[in-house]
Amino acid sequence: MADPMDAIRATFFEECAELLESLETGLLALQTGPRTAETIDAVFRSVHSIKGGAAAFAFSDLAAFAHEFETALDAYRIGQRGDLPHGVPILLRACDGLRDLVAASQTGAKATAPDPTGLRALCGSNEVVPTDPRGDPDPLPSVPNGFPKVWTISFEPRPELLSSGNEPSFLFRSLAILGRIEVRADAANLPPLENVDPTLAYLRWTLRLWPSAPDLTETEIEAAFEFVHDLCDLRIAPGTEALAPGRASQIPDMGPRNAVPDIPSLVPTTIRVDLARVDRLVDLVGELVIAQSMLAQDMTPGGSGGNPTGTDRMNDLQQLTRDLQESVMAIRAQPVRSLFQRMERIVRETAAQTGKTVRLVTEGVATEIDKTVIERLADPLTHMIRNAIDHGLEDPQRRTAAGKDPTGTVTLRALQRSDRILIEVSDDGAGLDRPRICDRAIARGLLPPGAAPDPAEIDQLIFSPGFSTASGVSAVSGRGVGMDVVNRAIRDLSGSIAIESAEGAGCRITTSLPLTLAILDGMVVRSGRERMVLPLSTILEAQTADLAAIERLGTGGWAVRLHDRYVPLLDLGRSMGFAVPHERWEAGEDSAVLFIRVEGGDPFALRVDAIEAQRQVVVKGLDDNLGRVPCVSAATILGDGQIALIVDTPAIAAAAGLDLQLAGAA
Amino acid sequence: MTAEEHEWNAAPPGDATPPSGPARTELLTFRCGGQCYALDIASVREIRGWSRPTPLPHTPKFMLGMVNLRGTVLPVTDLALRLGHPAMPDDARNVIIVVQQARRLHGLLVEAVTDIVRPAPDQLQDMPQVGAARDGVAPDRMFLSETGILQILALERVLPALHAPDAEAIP
Repeated sequence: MADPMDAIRATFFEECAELLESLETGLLALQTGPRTAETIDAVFRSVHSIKGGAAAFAFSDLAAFAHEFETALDAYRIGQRGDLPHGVPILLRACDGLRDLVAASQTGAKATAPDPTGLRALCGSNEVVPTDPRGDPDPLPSVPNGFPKVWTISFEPRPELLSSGNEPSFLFRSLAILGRIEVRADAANLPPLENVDPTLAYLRWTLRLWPSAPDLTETEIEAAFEFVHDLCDLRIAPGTEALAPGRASQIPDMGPRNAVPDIPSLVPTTIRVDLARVDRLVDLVGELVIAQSMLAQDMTPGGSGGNPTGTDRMNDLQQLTRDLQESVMAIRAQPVRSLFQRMERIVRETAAQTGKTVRLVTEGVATEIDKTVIERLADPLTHMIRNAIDHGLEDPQRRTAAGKDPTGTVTLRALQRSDRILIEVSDDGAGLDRPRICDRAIARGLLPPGAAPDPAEIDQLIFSPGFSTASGVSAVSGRGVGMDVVNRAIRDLSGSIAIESAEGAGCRITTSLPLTLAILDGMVVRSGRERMVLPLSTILEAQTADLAAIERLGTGGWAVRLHDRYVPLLDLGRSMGFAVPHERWEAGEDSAVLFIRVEGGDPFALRVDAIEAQRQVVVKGLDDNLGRVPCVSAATILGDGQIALIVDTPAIAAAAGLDLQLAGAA
Repeated sequence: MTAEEHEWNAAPPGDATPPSGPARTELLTFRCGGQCYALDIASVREIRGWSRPTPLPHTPKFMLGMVNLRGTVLPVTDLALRLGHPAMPDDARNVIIVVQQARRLHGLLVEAVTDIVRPAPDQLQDMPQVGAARDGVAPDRMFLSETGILQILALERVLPALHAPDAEAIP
């Protein structure tokens, strides 16, 4: 039996993930943009919610640190030392620490709580205040430009206020648009419950308003009470109430805050749905598409006797199913914002490790990709960004010497181009050190000695497996740690990587990915008894076998002419490991030769017994139920309900490359 | 849906034996490779009729391939072959027991499903050591019924290893 607490706990951690995200968003906004009260409040709320949950689940380390964090933020919130220039970086580091603690609580791992010293220095404790070098002698919150930082509003409704249909909380809400407010109700006049006349107003309120615009005037505040002007006693004064720094953090935040409902936001309403349910929906729609196409096949003119109405309805249905499929896929799409935000931390950490100063610029954060793709992009992106900082960017002295800004820039950019998403990681560093890469490749036997490959070929070398496994490489070569891993991860996502480098000006790695992993444009082919699907994006060209120029080379392999060169020819069924007779290259009048593009390599050709159709297929991953199968990237269900394998063409090429090498050696 | 597809999750109505004691497990019994086996019914999702699997290359021989389970790709193992018996003959009356372990679904091809039994704990006994166990998939417990020996399979050992197809691949 599953512990029911597990489910509740899981929800808490889900919420934590969201809260941490909004926390980081808020802190980054504070770092770059203006310090608005809403942002600080949102940040505060995130930490506060995490603290509350942590305490409820008895994650004491997490709760304790969240409390320190909250105290520091509170000092910030009160506005008392919000102008500390180093404040936000400390808070960002605390955010990283909080994230680690959440992860540790989730996995049950033991984590050392982050050092709260920085946070304590931020909050207005009495030991720190006097030593503040810029110690502001004036504790009054009024200052620059003569505008008060806090307004105190005393609001006393007359009895007619409620009976005329006014509602104080709406007034407070409109006040809250002007800035952060704190509301205190004075219930002294409230009679015992049995004597209450619901049409009369018994409560009085004292509100404090921290305006988000510093130049807010009394008239503007008064405007919020425009409709009840004659129905209440209103006093508005620049706030001078006890806001001594030492007491600031003890102001209770829960009680008064609850008096005002959350300001309705302009963010669209969302619901949280278990991904498994969406997956089920995707499956069902996939089934529907299949059933629809089967029906369409049955209704071909021969079958239905040319029923024009039926054909029209069929076309409508086809359009509807296609729209439905697209909508369902869109449910899984998410903006890359959260992914890019996670990279902020990678940048901070790597910058700290390497002693470089780095700025991360993100563009196109609203670009949407399938959720599974986003999740699986995190690792490759982390690799690429670490590489960009560690190996791409020069240290500040070298940058200054080269006439560059000592702060390096790493740009992360997402954009959609037709049915692909492009993710670019670029830096303004030194670019790839091609001579060194060449030397290294020759030393490792990846290039023959004395080879003079062109720059593009050299750049491709950093994706070679040999480059990442050698220990000393990161110190020697310009770049390359883990790039083969990145390449493989991207390939698993049916994506491809391109690299551009300019000496002294930087390097850009562009990853091109399909919008979704759930649907693929494929070519359905037959080899022997089996039907398989080849991703259309990997096919360069198709030729009928009897017209293709097929040649046997020696006693071993076969080759076929593609324009002005010969490329290796393999049989699809055999390459996939199905038992297929070997010597039958020309057999079958439908048989065809498909030329396959290989990322960063020469194309090759596959012979099939027939090309059956070209269509979109719903991709069914095998990992959950089966694990990885060589040469198979996934499966799909065809119109007749049978399963067909989706061929992993790069894997076939790799396997064939191995075979060719073996044949050559023998 | 064929007549062989039943909901096995719910106890049959009118069942005379009320659950006595917490330790009673319910077992689904079936024939496979000429012998009788049993599986914890909690891991059984459904029973399906036979349909031709799409073969999977580069996998062990006992992996028959994959069938379409209402939109899910279901790998199917020839359980007889997996347990060291001769391969199952092609027979439309064979059935596929769909089992679930954590998030993983898998089909086991068997000859026929026979019964649901609730053995008392003292009816279960360890398997006698008869020769070397094959790949560690052999059952280690058994149950004596009126009809004979039922060998209880440990699902996690019967299912082929995930993520390591290479290790078991037959070239």
